[in-house]
Amino acid sequence: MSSTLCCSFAKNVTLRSSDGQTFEVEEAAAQVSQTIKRMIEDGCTGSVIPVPNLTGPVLALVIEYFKKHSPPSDGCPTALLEMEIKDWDAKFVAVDNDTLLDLTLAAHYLEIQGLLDLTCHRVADILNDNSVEKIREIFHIKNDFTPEEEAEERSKIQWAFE
Amino acid sequence: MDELGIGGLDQISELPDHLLHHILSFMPTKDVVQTKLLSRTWRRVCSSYPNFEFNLHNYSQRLEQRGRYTKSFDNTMQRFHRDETGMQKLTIFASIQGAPELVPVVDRWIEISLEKQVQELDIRIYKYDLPPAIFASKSLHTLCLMGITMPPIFTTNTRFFSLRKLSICGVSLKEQILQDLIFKFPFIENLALLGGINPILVKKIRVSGLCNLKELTIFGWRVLEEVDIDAPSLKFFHYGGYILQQNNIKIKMGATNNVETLSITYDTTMTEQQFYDLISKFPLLKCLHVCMWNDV
Repeated sequence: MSSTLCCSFAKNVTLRSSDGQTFEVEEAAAQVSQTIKRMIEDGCTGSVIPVPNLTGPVLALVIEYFKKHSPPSDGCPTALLEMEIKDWDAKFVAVDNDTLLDLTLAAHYLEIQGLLDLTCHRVADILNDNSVEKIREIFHIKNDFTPEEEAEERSKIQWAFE
Repeated sequence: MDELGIGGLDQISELPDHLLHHILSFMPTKDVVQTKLLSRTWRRVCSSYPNFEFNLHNYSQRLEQRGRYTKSFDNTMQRFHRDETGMQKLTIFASIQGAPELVPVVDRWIEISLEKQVQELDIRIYKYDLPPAIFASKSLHTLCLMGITMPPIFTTNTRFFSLRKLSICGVSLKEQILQDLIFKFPFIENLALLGGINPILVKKIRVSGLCNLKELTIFGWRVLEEVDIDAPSLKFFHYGGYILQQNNIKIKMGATNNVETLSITYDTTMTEQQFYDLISKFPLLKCLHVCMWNDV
């Protein structure tokens, strides 16, 4: 492993999205992603790290998340800081549904457990708060049941609507 | 804005099943089940979802409603039993007071879950006799027990290596049984021992021989006099107690004490001396949370 002390204060890495946009970010922050962390450990730091599954706008959002969630340099996170991050998280996922699903896939691909839990929880809240018909509308889900089948399914789970 | 799905891409149904399952894991069972009606894809995803929650407390006292719910849950469990998927988690919150017919049904669900190599069990049923077979599971990772009656399992010396997290609350047991219980799970990482509202006759708790234990919670044991901890990996220690009876609790820490976070909750104020005596036992402390209130 090579480490030169002179430039240890803020080592940066460059990430490139599927559409060729590049972003520079602190190495410590990018390591919030387990996938990127492994690539850095394998010596990818010298060149640009490709992130082929994410478009520029999504990668830009993910980098915002990295910056907010990079480990604090002075160790123990305070309760106040945790609350602030929680607030920030809630605002971060208050986006349109397409972006929300893009972020879910990005979190999965880049192995960012915190972001994955955050986006999945947000999707779950949308599913909780809406009727079956409304959910189909929100997420463009095509109802491929025949009316008879749907009625039969519904009667089987009648208890869930009581 | 798209109307009624026309023109829009159904991106959500394209997510891999395990991600959809992760989404479902943040939803109450009732809402999970309703997603079955969305489409064929969702019906399939929902049917293979390996988490089950039976929560009778969501239902009113109306017997026929409870009966329908129980029957439907039983059907789901039976169907899952024939399926090849393993079970991740089974949660049962119920009351058997005045409903003894529920006991064999719950027994059967637990049996199915164990057969399906369940990893996480959360059983909250007041005075339910826990089937001893639970303590022979090789897959169980997390076990949470509330209000249940412990089986007399501790006659053998068998130890169980899969369990990482154990939480017991309001389980009425004797000191020796609790001691044996702690000894049964040598690889435990997270242990929570909560006394609960019933006066439980445990005067001494000794936590030792758990070399992987990282987080320990001891809370609300009314007559507790002594806590003796020897756990070199312990980082978080939460203690909450009563000092109503004047006899101040003795907390003894073992030779290797690496606790970094200490959280204490007391129902009356401590004297300064008592406080410093306690803190001095934790030389590597980084974070301290203190919560005290007067019960009177």
